[in-house]
Amino acid sequence: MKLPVKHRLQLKGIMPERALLRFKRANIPVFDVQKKGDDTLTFCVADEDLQRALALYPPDKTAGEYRAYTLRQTGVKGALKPLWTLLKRSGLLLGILLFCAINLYADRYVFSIEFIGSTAYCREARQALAEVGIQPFRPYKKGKEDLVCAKLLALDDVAFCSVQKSGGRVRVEMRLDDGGKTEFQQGAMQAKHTGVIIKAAVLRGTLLKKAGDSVQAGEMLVGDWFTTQDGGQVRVEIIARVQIACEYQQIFAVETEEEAYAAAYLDIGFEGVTIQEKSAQLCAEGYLVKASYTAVERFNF
Amino acid sequence: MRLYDEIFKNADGGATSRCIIVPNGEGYFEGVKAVGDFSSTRIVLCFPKIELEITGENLSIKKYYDGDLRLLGKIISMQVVQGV
Repeated sequence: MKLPVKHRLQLKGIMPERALLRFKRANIPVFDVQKKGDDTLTFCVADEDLQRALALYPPDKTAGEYRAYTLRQTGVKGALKPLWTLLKRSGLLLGILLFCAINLYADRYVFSIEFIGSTAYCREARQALAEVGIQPFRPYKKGKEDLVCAKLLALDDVAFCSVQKSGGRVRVEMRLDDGGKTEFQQGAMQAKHTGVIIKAAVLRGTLLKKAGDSVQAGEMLVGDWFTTQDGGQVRVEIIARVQIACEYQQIFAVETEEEAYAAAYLDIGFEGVTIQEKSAQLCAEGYLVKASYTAVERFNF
Repeated sequence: MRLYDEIFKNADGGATSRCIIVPNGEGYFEGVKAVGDFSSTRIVLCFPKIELEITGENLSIKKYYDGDLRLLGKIISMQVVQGV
């Protein structure tokens, strides 16, 4: 196969330009002729003329034989030089092609499964992958990633999951929910509702009221300290729970009973509140709403 | 060109030896029998009846085949030497 490349040759001898006459007589075109020194001439010949050019000044010489000119190859020139080099080394070309073919074929397979992030559910992840046919040394099943992610996200505390194929490796990334950090409220516990204390449970702190005592909204229920044996006080973070029985009564300038109850619920609040009884009476100003409820107030509980 | 035809028609031998040069540029020579002295500043071209001495800078032969020679570089002067 002839490629449009030129071969660089170097001619050495006394007045090497005289040797160009032989090339002219042999009808061999020479290109890019340059004089590199007093006795060195470099030029190029086409690929198809190389053998004839070398035959004019054969490189082989017997010992003691004098040659007026010596000709040798010094390289190849041309845009297709890399291709020419490859064709001269067919074994290398075959190896490169074989390597590419093996890579293309092996890209369809899975060789390992890698876990990134949390490894708490490694066993479950492998099982979920195996159920859809994704296993080491098996062909990879496309389009099953979402199914695997859905199964893994259904596990406890899994906040994030992704399955991707990268080369011959399947990467499973999982992140667990850390549940948020708990921060304790500081300071004393004050009552949010007015009523009578039914019961109180204090794990940390000092209870200032006892069951049966009346308490007003804003009044201190539990202090954020405890008294030591020698009479000193130590600051603590309160952990307490107090249940208060409350009576509620309010007039609302509304037109319907439902609006009166809605306004009463908003006024009372919803957190920890259980309504036992309620009633609404029409009056001159609107509706008088009466309610009995219990409120459970928690502080870091 | 017709002018060249006129010139070559009247030349001795039918002008088998010809040249086209660009001052301070390259040149093209036909009918070159051999290359005499050659360097980057001086080249001697042998024609059937004359020799041509060309001086310049960065002279190199781009192609030489079948008597046609293309000379690259900067041709400064050309001198005909008779009596080959």
